[in-house]
Amino acid sequence: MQIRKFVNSEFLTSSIWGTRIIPAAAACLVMAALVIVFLVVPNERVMGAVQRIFYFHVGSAMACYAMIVLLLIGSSFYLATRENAWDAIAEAGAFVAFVFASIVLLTGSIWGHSAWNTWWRWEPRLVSFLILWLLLFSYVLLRQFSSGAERAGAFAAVLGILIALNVPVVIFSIKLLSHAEQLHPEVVAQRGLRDWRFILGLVVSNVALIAAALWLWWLRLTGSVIEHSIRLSGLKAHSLARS
Amino acid sequence: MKPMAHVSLDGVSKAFGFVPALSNITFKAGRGETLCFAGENGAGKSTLLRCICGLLRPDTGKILISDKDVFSASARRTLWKQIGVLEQGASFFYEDLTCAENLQLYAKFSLGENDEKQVLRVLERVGLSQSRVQRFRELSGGMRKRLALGRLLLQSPTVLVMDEPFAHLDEAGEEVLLEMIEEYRCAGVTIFYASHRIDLASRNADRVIVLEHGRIVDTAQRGNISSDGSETLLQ
Amino acid sequence: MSAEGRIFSALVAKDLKTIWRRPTQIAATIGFAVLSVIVASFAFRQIGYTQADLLAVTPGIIWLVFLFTGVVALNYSFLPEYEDRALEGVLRASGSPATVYLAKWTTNYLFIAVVLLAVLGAHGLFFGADLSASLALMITIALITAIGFVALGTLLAAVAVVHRERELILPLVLFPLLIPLLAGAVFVTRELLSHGSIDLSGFWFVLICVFDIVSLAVSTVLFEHVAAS
Repeated sequence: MQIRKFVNSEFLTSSIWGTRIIPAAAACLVMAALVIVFLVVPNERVMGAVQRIFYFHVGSAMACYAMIVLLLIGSSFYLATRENAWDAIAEAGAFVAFVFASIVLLTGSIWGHSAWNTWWRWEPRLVSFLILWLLLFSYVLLRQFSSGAERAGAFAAVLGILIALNVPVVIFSIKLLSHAEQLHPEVVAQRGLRDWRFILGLVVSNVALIAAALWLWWLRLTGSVIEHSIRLSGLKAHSLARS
Repeated sequence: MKPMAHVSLDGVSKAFGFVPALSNITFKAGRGETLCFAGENGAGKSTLLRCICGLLRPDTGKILISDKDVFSASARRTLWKQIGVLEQGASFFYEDLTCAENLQLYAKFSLGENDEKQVLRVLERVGLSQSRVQRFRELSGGMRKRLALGRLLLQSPTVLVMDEPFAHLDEAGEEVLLEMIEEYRCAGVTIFYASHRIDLASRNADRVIVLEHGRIVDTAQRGNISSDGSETLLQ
Repeated sequence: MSAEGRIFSALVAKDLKTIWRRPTQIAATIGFAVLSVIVASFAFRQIGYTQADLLAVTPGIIWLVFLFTGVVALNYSFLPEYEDRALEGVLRASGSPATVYLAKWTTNYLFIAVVLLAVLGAHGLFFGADLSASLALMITIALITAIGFVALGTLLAAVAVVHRERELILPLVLFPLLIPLLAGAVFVTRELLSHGSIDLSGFWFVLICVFDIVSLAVSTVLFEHVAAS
């Protein structure tokens, strides 16, 4: 019952969080990230300017993980309570996660092209993210196939939980592959970021992209909640008419 | 004194997409009461019945049976067993199994020992003992309906939900069904069914609820239902 | 016998009967498996792969063929449940979704095990990779891997079967989830074929076992949500 207080069209469209704070924070942080990444952070020694895409690449991955957490929470609570609000939370989370996973693959490709001179390589981290992208893609597809069907929410929630549980398995199992096959720079784990400006850029871009993802999630959530409330108000009008 | 409500619906609404199918349905039914839903095709009778028995989750509103939410997780394990369902599109049988095997399966759920004898008795009663080794897919519509009646007999429900129970049945089948309804009523089973056969409804329904465009437009108590047709009722 | 045990055995007996009465379905599924192996054999052997090359691609081919055949088998296994919506009736009347799931898992597992044996047999016959040295271990690994495959497959086939695009949906949602399991199976099979034994505490074997247990447990809990409103 509690969740309905927040996930309804009135709250979502009027709350200061969704209309002011999150969008403003996302906008400012993305601006700040752009400034820091392009004007403050020095060129990386080996890769040069292209390395700057790294900040958006990693940030998008973090945003994607954050959205998968929302997918797991929404799916679990939907199955437990069958409140449509939770279903909408999970769905919005999955869709935004899918968008960011696509961005990760795209930016990764661009970076890979200039760093390793190839758009795609069967390298562990790439593969793990491709699987993650495929998992999210299957969720989006199932949503399309069963839209309007009975129990569509329950189907999606079951798949959502399976996907979220699979994500750590995919990531860790691939990580344990022999390191000879790894192309990804173990930036943080091995060399560390020497210059404080690198760290600043990384932190700000991560937070910025998570904020942007949250805002997109909020918009998507608002859309589906409004659609649902239109359905219900149609019902209400119907029950009042001619009775 | 008011009779205790066995089944109660409160503000039940359901839309398919943007098309409303039920809106704001509210009523109560006491233990052992028989309710008939009448109305034209598309009035929402089937949708309402499917909601009552837990097959279809309404968009809003609550459905309680014995003060328990029909859609709660615990209801799935305990309550649904006690709700006998006669659907129109499906009868919940396996097409590759014979009549006897299908009933045997359902007997295993509710009965312990002696289920074989019980199944034979039930087959006899619904008039299918001749075709007990026939596969379900080879049965005619009426025979499928009779077999579904047999399933209800094995289930010993406390609530019975039937969608157009008289459709497809011949006269002998109709008699079996009417007998069953009478028996269940005496046993205190709350019965809901949808039918446009007002003549039959007048014989056994305590209350007739008339639906139109998903709304309740009229309710008639027993005695006020005319046996010769729906005119008085629908006025 | 407890009520659950009675329901379980009745449901398994029902499934076996249903499978038995559609013999063309078993034959066709196994035929599909054999055919896939033969096609693979044409793709590799006929263009001049040596015995050593064939042994190198064997783990991948076995599991790929198994994956595709398994999906076909799972889709068919749920058709009788769907035709007259029998699954819904059984779930309601039994009041025990976990038992219904485990019964379905059991028969699917038996069916898939037969399919797996057919894949391995066909592989030995037509593909030319010599499996005889470690056949018992190979079958054991296959049967262990099948636990997780059938666990998720049974759950998701119940989702897929109510959709018109069921043949498409099942592999689309199932394959990405199975990638860790499949990777594990291929690695362990390769290890077996090259060393003749496997490391039971090795990462991939443990991964398969954990995947089996977790997916079976999670699917048992989640099943009631896909089969009833």
